[in-house]
Amino acid sequence: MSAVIHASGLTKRFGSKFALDGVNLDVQPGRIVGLIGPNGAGKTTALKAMLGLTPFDGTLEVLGRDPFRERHELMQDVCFIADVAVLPRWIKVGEVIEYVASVHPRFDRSQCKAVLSKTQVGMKQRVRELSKGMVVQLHLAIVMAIDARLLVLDEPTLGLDILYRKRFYEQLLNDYFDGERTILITTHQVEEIEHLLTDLIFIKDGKIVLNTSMEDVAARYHQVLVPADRMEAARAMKPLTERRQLGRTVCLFGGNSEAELAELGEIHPVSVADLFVAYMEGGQP
Amino acid sequence: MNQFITLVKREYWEHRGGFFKTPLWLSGIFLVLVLMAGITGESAMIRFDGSESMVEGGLKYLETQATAEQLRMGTDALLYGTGAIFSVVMFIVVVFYCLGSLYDDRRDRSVLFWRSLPVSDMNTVLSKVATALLLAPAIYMVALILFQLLLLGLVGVIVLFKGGSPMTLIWGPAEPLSYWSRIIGAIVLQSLWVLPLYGWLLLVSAWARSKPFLWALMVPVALSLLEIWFHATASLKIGHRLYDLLLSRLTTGLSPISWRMSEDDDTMTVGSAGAGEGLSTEWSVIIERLWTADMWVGVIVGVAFIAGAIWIRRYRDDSATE
Repeated sequence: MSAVIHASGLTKRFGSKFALDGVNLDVQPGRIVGLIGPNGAGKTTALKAMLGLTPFDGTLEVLGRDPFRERHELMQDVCFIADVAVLPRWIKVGEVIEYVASVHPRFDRSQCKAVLSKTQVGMKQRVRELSKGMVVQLHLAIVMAIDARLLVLDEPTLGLDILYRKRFYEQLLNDYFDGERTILITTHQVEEIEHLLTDLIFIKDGKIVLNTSMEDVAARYHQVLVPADRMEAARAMKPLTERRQLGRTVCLFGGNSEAELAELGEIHPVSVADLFVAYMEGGQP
Repeated sequence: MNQFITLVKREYWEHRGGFFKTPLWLSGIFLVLVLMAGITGESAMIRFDGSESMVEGGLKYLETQATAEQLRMGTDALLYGTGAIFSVVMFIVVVFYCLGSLYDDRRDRSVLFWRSLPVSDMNTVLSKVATALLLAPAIYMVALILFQLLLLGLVGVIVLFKGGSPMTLIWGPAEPLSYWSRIIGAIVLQSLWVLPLYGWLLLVSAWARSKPFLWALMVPVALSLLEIWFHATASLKIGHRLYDLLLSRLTTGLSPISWRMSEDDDTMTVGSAGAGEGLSTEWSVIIERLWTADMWVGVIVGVAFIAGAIWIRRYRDDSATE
């Protein structure tokens, strides 16, 4: 099967600043991809280019289409939730459902209403009367009722409390993801989505610095608690980062076998957050 | 087509205030004012010899002395006067609607939601055009007809209570059907006449990052002033022409029965307050004015502005740096 997203030499500049600098990228169907980067790294610009919201240079195909030239056709197969507050505040819940039902050929109105009936969101309420969490529930209910092939989430849970955040991702994984759809997520709250990702992409200064699967991350990267007397041996193996923690040193290694690392100290799995910090602070590891 | 109807419906949902509540309030306020005038008119009148009030005397005089023509002019004044006010209000509502229609959703970022749905930018913009040119006039027309029916009824009843004959004075001479048919023609003409203005407002609405009202006003004003000061493009007169197309139509477009076609045409008003003979020829005037160069130059410029608005809507990317 061909890639859901294919980018090669994808570039976007604002004046002299490159928001995207020759990005090459392939996302396969059935993956849940985390696009992680610091503020201003080009995450949102990349998503916007993929959604046809901004013109770009280079090649970019989403589901075989040029997103900018064929945005409205593409949107039959792509859904998008930008951070919380993009549903129009004046609209009534019933109206927004009627609207989507009429403009979107793949929207299942009854499914959407069934999902909403389990929440506090009422059909006659206006979006402005809903809490932030309820607005996201509404948006998610709409998106889940659309039979799309790609779902793009840009900081979908920004500003929500932990209960809503947890429920959001649970619903997404249990009721929406079916192994064939593709989900692309950007977020700062990496810890919360770590367990549901299948792939990981780091972006920094408009460039992709890491693009790998989560299995590969687990197989390739390790943290080792190195006691002081083994530090010299550890440094000889060139850890990506080292940091002091409760009198011991935690070293992050990439590409070393577990057998050789076991001689240095206790091995722990690496978290995406640790890896992210290593990549962003340490330059190219 | 179904999708397009939904897009227009969406516009109505968002602007219920201007498109539904405003004509409702307008009708209500007018009817209350007329009713109050009817009630207080009586008690405020000084009675001569305790016999009859001036109102009663006046009505008797009209019934016996006024010609049919004069009576019809009276009811025409009622219809044209209120109709003119409705169309002024509608025009103001539509102008502000156009200015906000491609700007408000960018400001509150809901554009990200609208554009995540499979609706082309062309259809989005055209749905706004249809709302300004068709939906708003249709709603105001229906509201006006209902209101004027109530108005004629109410005035007739007041006349009855004052001892006059509503049949002779109001319901007989009034010709609302011919008025309404003419005003529909006038509204179509007005819509075409102000198309360059609506197109310009949509263009600015799609383009402006802030203060669309100021931009919409200042660009043609500034161009005109520059030309006056520097005589730079005197032969082209772009600013002058833009000014003519936009700002002068802003004022002449206010009422379908009080516009004029160009400066040298001094037969501008067909009169909003019962201008007798002028009214009967209005259909021929409407058709004659439809086929003028000014009219069609304006329509072409308006279509070009709308095309520009569609183009900008596609390319505008506001939150450029995350």
